[in-house]
Amino acid sequence: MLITGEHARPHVPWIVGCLVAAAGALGWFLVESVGQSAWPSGGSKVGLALGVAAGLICLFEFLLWPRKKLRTWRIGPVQWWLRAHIWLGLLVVPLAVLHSGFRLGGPLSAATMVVLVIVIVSGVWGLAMQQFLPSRMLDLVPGETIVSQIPHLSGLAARDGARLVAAVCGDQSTDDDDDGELATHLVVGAVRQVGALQGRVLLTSAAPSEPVPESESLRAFFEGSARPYLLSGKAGCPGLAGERAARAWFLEVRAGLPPAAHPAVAALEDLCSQRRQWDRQAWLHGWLHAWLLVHLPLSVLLMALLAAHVVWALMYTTHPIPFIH
Amino acid sequence: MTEHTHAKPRASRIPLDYFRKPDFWTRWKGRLTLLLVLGGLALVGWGLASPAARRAALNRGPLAGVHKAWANDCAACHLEGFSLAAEAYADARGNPCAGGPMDQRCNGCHNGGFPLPPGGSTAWAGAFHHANASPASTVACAACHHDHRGGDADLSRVPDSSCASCHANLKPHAIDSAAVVVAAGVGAFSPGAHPPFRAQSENWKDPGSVKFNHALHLKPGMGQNYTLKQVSSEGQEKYKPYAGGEKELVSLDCAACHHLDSPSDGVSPARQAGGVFLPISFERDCKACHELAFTRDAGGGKVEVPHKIQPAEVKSFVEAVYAREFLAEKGIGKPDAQPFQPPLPGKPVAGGLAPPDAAAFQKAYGGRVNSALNRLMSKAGCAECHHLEGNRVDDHAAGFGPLPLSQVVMSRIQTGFFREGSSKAAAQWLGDQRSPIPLVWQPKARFNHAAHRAWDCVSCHSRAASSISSADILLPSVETCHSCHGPAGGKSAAQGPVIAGGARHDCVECHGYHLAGGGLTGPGNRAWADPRGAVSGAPVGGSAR
Repeated sequence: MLITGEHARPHVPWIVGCLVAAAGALGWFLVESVGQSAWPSGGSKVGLALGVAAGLICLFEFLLWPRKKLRTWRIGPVQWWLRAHIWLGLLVVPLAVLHSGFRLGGPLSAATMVVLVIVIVSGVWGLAMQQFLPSRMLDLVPGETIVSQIPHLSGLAARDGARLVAAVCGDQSTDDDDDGELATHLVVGAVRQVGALQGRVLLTSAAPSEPVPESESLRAFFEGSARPYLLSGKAGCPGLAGERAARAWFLEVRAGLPPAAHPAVAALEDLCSQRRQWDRQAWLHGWLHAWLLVHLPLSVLLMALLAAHVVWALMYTTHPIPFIH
Repeated sequence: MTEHTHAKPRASRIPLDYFRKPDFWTRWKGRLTLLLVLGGLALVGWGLASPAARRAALNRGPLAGVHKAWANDCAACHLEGFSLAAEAYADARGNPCAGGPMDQRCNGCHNGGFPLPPGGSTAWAGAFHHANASPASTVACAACHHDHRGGDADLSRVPDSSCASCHANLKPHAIDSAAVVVAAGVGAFSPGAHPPFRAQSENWKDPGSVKFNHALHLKPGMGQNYTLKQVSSEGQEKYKPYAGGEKELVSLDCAACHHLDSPSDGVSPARQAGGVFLPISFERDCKACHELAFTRDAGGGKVEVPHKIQPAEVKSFVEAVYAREFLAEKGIGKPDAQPFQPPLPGKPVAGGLAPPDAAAFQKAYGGRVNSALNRLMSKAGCAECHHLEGNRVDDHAAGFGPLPLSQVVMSRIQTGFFREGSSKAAAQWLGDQRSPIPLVWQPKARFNHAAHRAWDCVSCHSRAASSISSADILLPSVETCHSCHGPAGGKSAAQGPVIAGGARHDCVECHGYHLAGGGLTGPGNRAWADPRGAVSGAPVGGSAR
């Protein structure tokens, strides 16, 4: 979720509200601390109140997960839930720290606090990534696609390349009819570049009508370098992973071929360029989503620890609980 | 190139149900979540099933060193289960806070903190802080004494909140709010938050009957050119440090007379912690200059009246001394055969002279006896320090009232008062001869002079050098304490300027809790014996209490 620039306005009430709440909690805590030789504990009136508030917020935060699964439910826009998730989640930090009285306590409460901090930090990290990585991706990856389909699309690109090479070099053996497969596929967009966006380009003009003589070196290049790169990326052919090195290499390939084969070489270069963008997209996508591998599972663990913390705190308390006694 | 003729199908690159197949991120999110859910459930289950696990998971920190022996035995102190919250804070009498099962476990060892009923039962038996404290406001042990704060934690150093929970607004927490005599709104020891000491606010006067002029004694030569040579031969060694030489003026300081209750020689066993000063002793602190000699014996030695005997006994003693001298002159007995002893209370005049000898004695020694008595009872003797009138006169220079001392003494003797020879009668006349000066002026607070030894006496007792009346109480003000004991950088409400502060200023720095209203004598309080042999904190004072 974007929170900067023009997207900041809807967040302002949440930010102000959470700051006021944090300041209020801190003020109450300090008032209760006046004249004390130690900070109020989690079992004190202020400590318990802030702990309960933090726990309820954690529960609400956790509900974002089922909320996303239940997209059709009319329980408020997801945007609202996300904003609440972000800012109330950050509010939990001061509340929990004040609840702890700046002490870690026993292993359970210490573990709860540590997991909470990791969850919060991972969330902040994810939020930060979301502020600039998508726009960065738009700049660096005009041929952006669905990340999970990159291997599939790479395979198709390799097959497109093979057909081109077969058309240029005169070998028709790779020409297979995949209409049956294509029928099960989705059209993902126009196959051209518009502005910063780039789609798959249909190679209607790249293939010569007749095989080009003395173009065997293209097949060797394709089979030895381009196809492995299209299928496996940098691991398949490191020499094509770098944009500048790849350009030089393709110039060299082009120089060794008759002019009639040059459009096919350009098409192969485009395929490799797109593969390079997908690799970059996968890398950026990793940065954009890796935090969820920490944030989500640890949130679940946090709920379990929190439940244990609440239950055992009530079970083993050794001094009167405010509001109860 | 047939494929190029099928533009639309060739653009259909993505499987229509691609979203149904989880990608790498989705798979691992699910796997890790499942793993941690199972881990969390296992953790909770483990904790519920295993006491050892609960102990490991819940122990918020090492026990204090004094409780280390029970580090692996939670049940020694804790009750387990959800009923604890209600059970721990309710005793059989419906007391909602103190005396519950948890407290009884504490009480199993800490009997000193609680007045126990006869028979050795460990049940909580009543107010252990103050008789007027409401039982509903008397909290459980653990409400103040938080353990699991590490081996070095001091469990008796309870937070101010424990005290302020009642003392910040005391009356609702008293059984009889009208009987609350201490400040009812004290939340901390900081300028403005703690009331002045009662010696200040109530303008206490020293109830002692001894006249003493601090200013005079702190002047070089006591303002009378008093030199070391004039000090008795027995005291010269002691007072050498206070004078350069025999003809030099004696310049006393506080330590010349005020001695801590712990010996400073490093050899004698300490009786006390060195926290308070011993009462002034005539023999130790006064006698070197204020001798009570009235004659010399056959060997030329000074004969002194013992201190602390009453006027009738003084007369008996003087008569006995001279009677022995009289008998020696007549060849009967030897005046120096045994040390002079004060007469026993209630006994007739010493000497045992028969009536004929008594008459002769009276004729020969009556004048010397009267002269000695007059001298002893004058400002050269007892009256230098003691008021012999019923009405105390504080002003040292004002004498003893409207009558000359000799007339007072002689009138008492003539009216038979002394002839009764009864110390009881003398006590009736002079009042309780036990000093009414409190041994500790603020018995509900702790103070350790030894801990403050780095400071000059006058830095706190600033009026000592100018006090001329023994009625002055030279206790420092609360502002003096605040100059160190208070929030760092705080301001004194009374004095205005920024003070240093920063030294400990929590309630328990000075006050104890388990006092049962008895001040220093409260059960559970630190053992503190009165060096005079009496129980400290007992009502030794008069108005000062």
